[in-house]
Amino acid sequence: MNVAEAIIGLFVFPGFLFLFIFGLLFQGINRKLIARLQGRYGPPVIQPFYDFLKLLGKENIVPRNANSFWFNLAPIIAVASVVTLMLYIPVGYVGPLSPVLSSGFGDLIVILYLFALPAIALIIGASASGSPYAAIGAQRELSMLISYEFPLAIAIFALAWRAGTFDIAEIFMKQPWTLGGPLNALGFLLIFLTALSVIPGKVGVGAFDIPEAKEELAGGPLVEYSGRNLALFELAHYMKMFVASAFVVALFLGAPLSPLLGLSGASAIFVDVLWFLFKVFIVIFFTVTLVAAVTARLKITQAVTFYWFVVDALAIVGLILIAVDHFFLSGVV
Amino acid sequence: MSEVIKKGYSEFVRIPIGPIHPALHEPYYFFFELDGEEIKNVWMQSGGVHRGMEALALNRNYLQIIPIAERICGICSNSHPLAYTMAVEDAAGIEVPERAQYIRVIAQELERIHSHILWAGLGGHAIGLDTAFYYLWRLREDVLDIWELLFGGRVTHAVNWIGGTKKDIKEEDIPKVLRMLKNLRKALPEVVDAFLHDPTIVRRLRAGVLTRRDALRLSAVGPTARGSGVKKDARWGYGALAYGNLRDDYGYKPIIHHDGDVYAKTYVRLMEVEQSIDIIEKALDDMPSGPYRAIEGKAPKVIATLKKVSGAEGIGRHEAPRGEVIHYVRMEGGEGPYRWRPRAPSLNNNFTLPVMLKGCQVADIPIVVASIDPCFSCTDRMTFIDENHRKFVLSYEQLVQISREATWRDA
Repeated sequence: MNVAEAIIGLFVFPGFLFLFIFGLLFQGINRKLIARLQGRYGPPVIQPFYDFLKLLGKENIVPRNANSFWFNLAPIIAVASVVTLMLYIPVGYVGPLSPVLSSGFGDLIVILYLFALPAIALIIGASASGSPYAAIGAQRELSMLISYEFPLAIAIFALAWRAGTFDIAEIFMKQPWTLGGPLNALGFLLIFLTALSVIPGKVGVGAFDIPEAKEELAGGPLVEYSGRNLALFELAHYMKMFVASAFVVALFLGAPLSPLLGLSGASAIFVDVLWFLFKVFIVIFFTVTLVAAVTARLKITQAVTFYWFVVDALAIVGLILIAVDHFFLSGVV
Repeated sequence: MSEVIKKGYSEFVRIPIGPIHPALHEPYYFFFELDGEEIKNVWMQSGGVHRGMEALALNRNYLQIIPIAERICGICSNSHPLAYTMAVEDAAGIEVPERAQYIRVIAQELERIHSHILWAGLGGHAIGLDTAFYYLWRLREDVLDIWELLFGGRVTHAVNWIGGTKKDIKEEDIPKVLRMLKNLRKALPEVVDAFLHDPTIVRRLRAGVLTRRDALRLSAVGPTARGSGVKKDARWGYGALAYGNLRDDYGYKPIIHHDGDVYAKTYVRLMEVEQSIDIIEKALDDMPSGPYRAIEGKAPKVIATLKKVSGAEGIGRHEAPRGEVIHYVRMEGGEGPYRWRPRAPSLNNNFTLPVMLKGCQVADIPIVVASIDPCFSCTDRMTFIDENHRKFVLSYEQLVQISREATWRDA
């Protein structure tokens, strides 16, 4: 791995700067669309940038009975883990400027663990803040983590097993849903739906805005955060929305556009990245914007029941269909 | 309650909600003991917004109290002055002309529509569905415009006048009102369908059960009681104003639901919006022509008439959107009342909250508190402060003792 390439990858593309711009931009579009769905005008699209800058300039208060070390460290862990995560995701192509992927380190199990980190950081920060509201919020965040990680893990393992590899770059190239017959495609549709229904839980919107629940817990884990720390948590949150959608797109909707157009070189990469962003936007629209606009917040018990019984059933049926197709219909082992 | 808070150790997590909290729109203080998400114990305390309304009124004359009564509650801004004028009319024996009775009914039912729609929006907000909030408050805006058209005020309407109403409804305004009602009727089924059938909303509304027994024991009023299957509606039971005629002619009945949870209260409110639309249409149709004030002439004339009344007591009972409002007025001559005592419906309903909240989850707090449509500011009537400017709370026995001393008469 080339050091210069790694640094550019981490800080510019597809790392921090890229994620910063598109995470906040997509959040701005998301807010605008929610507003339009609710029959109001909504803030300007670049409002999240203003909000971020404003929060950076605000006073950073650490509560008296907080553990200041963990309280201040948690937002940094959150942002760092999301940015690291982005390095593992093929942004429409695998090649130059994707150092981790092109050297074959894009391991799905690492990604699964990295995905849990922002939530863990939030729980650490909330527990360190010494507020009863934050404690309840942390408790809820943990319950959510337990509930949505299992279906996501089933979906990812089904995918990896069918593709025969844990390397995300290889899965991205292979498009495993094309590997078998119609039953295989149907199974992949089901685990695709599983992955989609995990996104609102991970991002925490609409029915699954349970840990933060501003009407109940006044912001839950974030209730004591302000200034720079809050800005970082918000940033991590928006980046997480982008990355979670990008992850699902890379796994299930990865097909690049450039071979169809017959492009190659830099222009192919450019077109593929745009195509990828478009797909991410579509996924965000259906899993974040619409869910936020049309659902009421569930209780934590109802959300856990939903993930453990409905979404898990979906994932397991998908897995069985893929297995049936693989062992009995395709005849290839 | 303060002893409870001071007690150090508890096996449960303890959280305060209020006086300032996103779940509450007015200052009120709740203190919860939680086992995980489940609520084990609840304490509550009022006293955050004592405004001295009654004392303020004692320096005013009969007509100047009407604007004060309008400001007891920003949403029941027609019910309180209406109950007050009814109390004064009861005491002074003034007969209200029939046209004024119909105008009052129309004003009151417009208020019920706007209040229930506003409530449904806030209910949606409490369960995290802001779309319902924005959509419903947009609908409510049309009702406010009609208020402005008919009576001149959007929030405080200034409809009532002792012995009638302040303004008459003009013939040319009636088509506009009917058009608004028609639009509302068209938009309403969608809202009713969402609140009563949408899976995520219904799941959230199934919380905070108030049994019929508890509703009767705590003398809950309004939709809170009707949602528990208590047939209690001052409009149809008492039949004051034109409500008696409308009930006899069209057979209106209190709308009740037997489940007792938030869903039942939502059902009652949404159905009442439909009923109110119907009532306004019927009332506009039936409204007779004639005078709209019992006492001809301007304010001095009214005051002069009321000044002659002495040693009379009057009660004004009226069904506000939140429940029954009762105003008591005692007249002892003079330009203003000797005593004016309003009782807001939230005073009854607030005490159903601990019963409903016990056993709920933390997530249910906003919607269960919102389910009684609380108006905490309306209920604060007294505050006791000792010579060191410390607030204190009177026990039941002390309160009874003080009232006995105050009202004791030697035979």
